[in-house]
Amino acid sequence: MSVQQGAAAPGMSGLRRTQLRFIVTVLVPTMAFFCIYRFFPVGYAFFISLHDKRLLRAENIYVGIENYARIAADPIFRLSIGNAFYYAVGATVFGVIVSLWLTLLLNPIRRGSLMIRLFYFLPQMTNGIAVLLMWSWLLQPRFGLINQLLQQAGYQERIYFLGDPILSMPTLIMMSVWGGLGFTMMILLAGLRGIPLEFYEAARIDGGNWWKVARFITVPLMKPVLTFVTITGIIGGFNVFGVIFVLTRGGPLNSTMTISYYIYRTGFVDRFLGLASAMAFVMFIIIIVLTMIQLRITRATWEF
Amino acid sequence: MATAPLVQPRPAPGPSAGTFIRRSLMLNYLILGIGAFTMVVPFVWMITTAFKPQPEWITFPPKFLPVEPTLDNFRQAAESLDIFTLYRNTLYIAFVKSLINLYVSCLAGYVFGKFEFRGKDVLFYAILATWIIPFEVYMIPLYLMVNQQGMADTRLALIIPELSSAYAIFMYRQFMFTIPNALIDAARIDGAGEWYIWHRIIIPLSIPVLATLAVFYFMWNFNDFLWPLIVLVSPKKFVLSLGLTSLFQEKGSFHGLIMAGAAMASIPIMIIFLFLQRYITEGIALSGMK
Repeated sequence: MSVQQGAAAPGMSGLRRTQLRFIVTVLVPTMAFFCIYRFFPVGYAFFISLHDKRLLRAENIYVGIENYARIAADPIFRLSIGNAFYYAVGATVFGVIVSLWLTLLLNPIRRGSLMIRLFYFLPQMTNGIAVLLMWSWLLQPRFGLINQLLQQAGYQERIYFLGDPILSMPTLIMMSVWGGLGFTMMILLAGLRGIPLEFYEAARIDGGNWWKVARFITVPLMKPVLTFVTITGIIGGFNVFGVIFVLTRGGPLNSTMTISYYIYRTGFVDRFLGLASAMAFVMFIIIIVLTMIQLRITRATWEF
Repeated sequence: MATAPLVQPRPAPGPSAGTFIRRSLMLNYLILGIGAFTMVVPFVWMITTAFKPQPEWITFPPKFLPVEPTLDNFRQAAESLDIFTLYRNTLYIAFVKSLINLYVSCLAGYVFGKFEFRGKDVLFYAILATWIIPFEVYMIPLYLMVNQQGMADTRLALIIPELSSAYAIFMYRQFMFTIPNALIDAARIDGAGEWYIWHRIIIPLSIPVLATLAVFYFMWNFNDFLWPLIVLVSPKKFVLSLGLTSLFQEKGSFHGLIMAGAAMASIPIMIIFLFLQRYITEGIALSGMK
């Protein structure tokens, strides 16, 4: 290592050279990785989307925008986008409201606060598929705990939570809210603790009650955090896959067919890779628009 | 909602702070307690079902605890579910993936956070932009590439496409802003090489954030589903999520057996995460405030 001492110009350039070598050694492989495994595949995906490419078939037949035309005319594709939004917006909005309420209740608590948070975080701290199987047993129409409890409470009709096209999506949303509460609560709690105490002091002097403080101080001041969890939640929920694959396979009657699962099915079950890639690009555009909305809003909100 | 006012001041640091429960907080505890109860009951129900013989889980009204507890469900689940192999595969991939990814990403995050060079912003934002690409867009090309490179149905196929990630680079770069430049310059003047500075100064200083990121990555990688589903074919290489899914598809109506499998796949890892929860809490505060 030929690092020269002192702040003289030649010494600095020697220092500079070793730094430059370090930068190059680190960034060349990094950029190579991102080019090979991120940028190239996106370009390749676009190439595939312009071809009639099938799984387990070597040749690509150029078809232009035919794949895009086909998905534009596909009612199930449109339904799958609508369902993905239904799931994402439903689970996020409902989840954020419940989490906010619970967080406001949790915030003044000192004793046992960590313990309570851990309970809510349990679904995150384990295998997601195991949690899904657990729910499928709880929701089982005949012997499941929920139906049995309802029956004991006097409601005789069996509820087919996942087998009813109207109930299926709300059921998945409830599961998602249940599983995500702990995560959202922790983010909201961190945001809540960041609000300067003077605001509350002022409210107390003015005699604000719980509801008024929440309505006029806490929620407006938490707007940046609330916006953050809402939009990232919607983006995250939009590509829901695991729960659909394991529990409903898009059914019944396509009522839980979401875009991510439809892409998987088109590409890897029906083997139309070109068609699936075209769908993925439409999804990409939706995600880009959502992200731009997020950037626009988060930049516009006032940070304290 | 007649709950405790939010306006109450945070307790002053002192011996009496928080040593008693104010009566006004009772309702808060009650509501949060009911919520916590609904978080735990499904897991308890899963475990008790796993110990029940079939006649018991179809009885009405349901009994909470098994009358004649049995290990049959676990025995049968173990026949179709090679739980040790599944755990070994899952832990191996989650560990290796998380460690390599963290080292590589944080190294890049350090360079972006602490060095000045031409084109830095362009490179950084190019990497950051990959963050928003949905996996669905590049999974098909990735699958074709992995097949072409002879990595189909291998662990390597799960690890290589995740060698680095925009998220970790971004987070670590943010953290780098809190480390004073003077520290690094002083080391340079003392004659320390760049790699020495990275390994002996920067890494030890960032242990908390590294631990947090490590736990997070481990948690995500542990639950990885779609990519293993596409890439892995032979059951011997399956990860837990895949093993459970195929058990469910084969024996879905044997609820005791399925719950035994789910319990075996979820309870041990839950205990591990209970010990790591401090890092999870910190990590969420970190990522949520960004």
